[in-house]
Amino acid sequence: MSVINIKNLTKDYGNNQGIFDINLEIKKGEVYGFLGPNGAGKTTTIRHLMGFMKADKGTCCIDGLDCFKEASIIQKKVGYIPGEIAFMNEMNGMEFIRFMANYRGLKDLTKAHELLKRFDLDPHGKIRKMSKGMKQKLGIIVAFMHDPDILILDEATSGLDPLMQNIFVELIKEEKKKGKTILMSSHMFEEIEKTCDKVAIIKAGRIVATDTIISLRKTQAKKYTITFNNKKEINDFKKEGMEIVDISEDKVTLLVQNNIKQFITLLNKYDVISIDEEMQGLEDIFLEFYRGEKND
Amino acid sequence: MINWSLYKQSIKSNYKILLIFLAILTLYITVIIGIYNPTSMNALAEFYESMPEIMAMVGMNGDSTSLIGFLITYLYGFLFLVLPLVVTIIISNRLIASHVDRGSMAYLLSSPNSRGKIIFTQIKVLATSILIVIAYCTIVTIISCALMHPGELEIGKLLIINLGLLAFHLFIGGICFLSSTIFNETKYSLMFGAGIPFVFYLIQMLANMGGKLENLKYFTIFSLFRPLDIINGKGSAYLMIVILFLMAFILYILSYFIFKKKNLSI
Repeated sequence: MSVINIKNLTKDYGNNQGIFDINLEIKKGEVYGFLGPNGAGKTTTIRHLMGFMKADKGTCCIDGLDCFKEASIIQKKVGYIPGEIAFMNEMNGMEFIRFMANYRGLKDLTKAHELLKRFDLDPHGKIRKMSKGMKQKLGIIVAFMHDPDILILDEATSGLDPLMQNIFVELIKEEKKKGKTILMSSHMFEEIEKTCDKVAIIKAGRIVATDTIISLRKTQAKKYTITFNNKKEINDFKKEGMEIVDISEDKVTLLVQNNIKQFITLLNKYDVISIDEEMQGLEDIFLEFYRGEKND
Repeated sequence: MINWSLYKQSIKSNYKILLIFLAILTLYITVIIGIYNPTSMNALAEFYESMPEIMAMVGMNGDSTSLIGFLITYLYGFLFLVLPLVVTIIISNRLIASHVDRGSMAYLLSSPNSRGKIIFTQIKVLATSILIVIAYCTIVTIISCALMHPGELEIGKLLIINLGLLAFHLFIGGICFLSSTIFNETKYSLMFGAGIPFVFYLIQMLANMGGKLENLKYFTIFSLFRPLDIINGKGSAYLMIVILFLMAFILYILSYFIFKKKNLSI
């Protein structure tokens, strides 16, 4: 049964800005990644799901209810982290948590306290004076404290340090075990890769691919930079037929996809000083995606 | 129909402004009532003689021989119009537009509370604030008069005038609130929410100068509140009070529908 269902969703701001013909179906219990560079339309799509905006065309439903018209019914079950978090600045963190709980009709703050401890946040300072990371933690706590069935998380880890990002990933995994349906947007593949079952890639307002993480990982090539001992080695290595993307003084950068064994055997023959795996940017993943499509 | 947590929170974040204005109002009301002296109004009369146009512009040209006439001249021409108006402008802007501008509206909307409920709650906050200001003015006026000029104030008339004043400020509040719901940025919300009433007040000032300019009174909402006509028992003045209440109601309902249908980039 699909929990979130977006069909042909279009919001045209003119000048090719906006989102066009977005289709997404997220089933119960799925963790769905929504991947795309800044300005691709992730937040605009999410604003439609939250009922902040009305679509120009198409529909957008949660649990079969229209996201704009029935927002208040849908919101009973939803936890949300906004892409750009803004609180009522005059409150302190705890006042905000209490306010949101009362405002939602939530009596039990057990989960909120548990999360405060987990994310190591002291909520008694003025929100105005909090750092970006502290505000983000507060946002996470408010999104999860009422134990919602559906989570819509827009760039949930922005501003968090790596340690806190890991704690967040653990939290997502736990929620997933409880059968929660989660949509999380990000511009970082690694974050999505750690948590999600499926991923939709959005670019310039259009979904360019939807796939499972497993098959995305298969198509994904890894980029390695090898440092050789001398120039001759590089010249020999060039003839091996690997997919080389860059050569500098003593380094060769190449892509390895589905041929990792061949790559390792090959390296044995050479005088290699070091191998480094390059972090893959989102653009690279897109490029490979298009490559993959051509190959098919 | 309304969310009490939000209501309390909104009142809490606005009560300081309210207190400041109540303090300013207290000061003015007591000072002005203290000046009143039916046997020798010479000081003020001389003041009026020295610059009649300016006094007329701010409505201070009425009959000052009775205490209520004096109050109408010196409180209802300027202070009771403009000071509560400033409070209304500030609070209206904070209730909706500033949440949208800052983005905290996202938190108000991502809850089981409908947009309708949110807007009704905020309207109620604004109405409560206006009611507090007017009720406070009424009480301070009555007490000051009782202390300084016992037995001279016609309280019944004062209450009717202040009912009119309440209707008037609810109506102005409606304009500010509508502006707060229409615009996504506080600068525009303030520009129109404050601009429209102040332009009308300027027209009113010109109309007060009399002569040909008097016809301008047909182009300002301030003519709808006529304290002098009220104490003189003119039926039209009572009708105006009803009209003000009605128009205020319409403006709030309009705000409700606009906010319900609005696209919010938050």
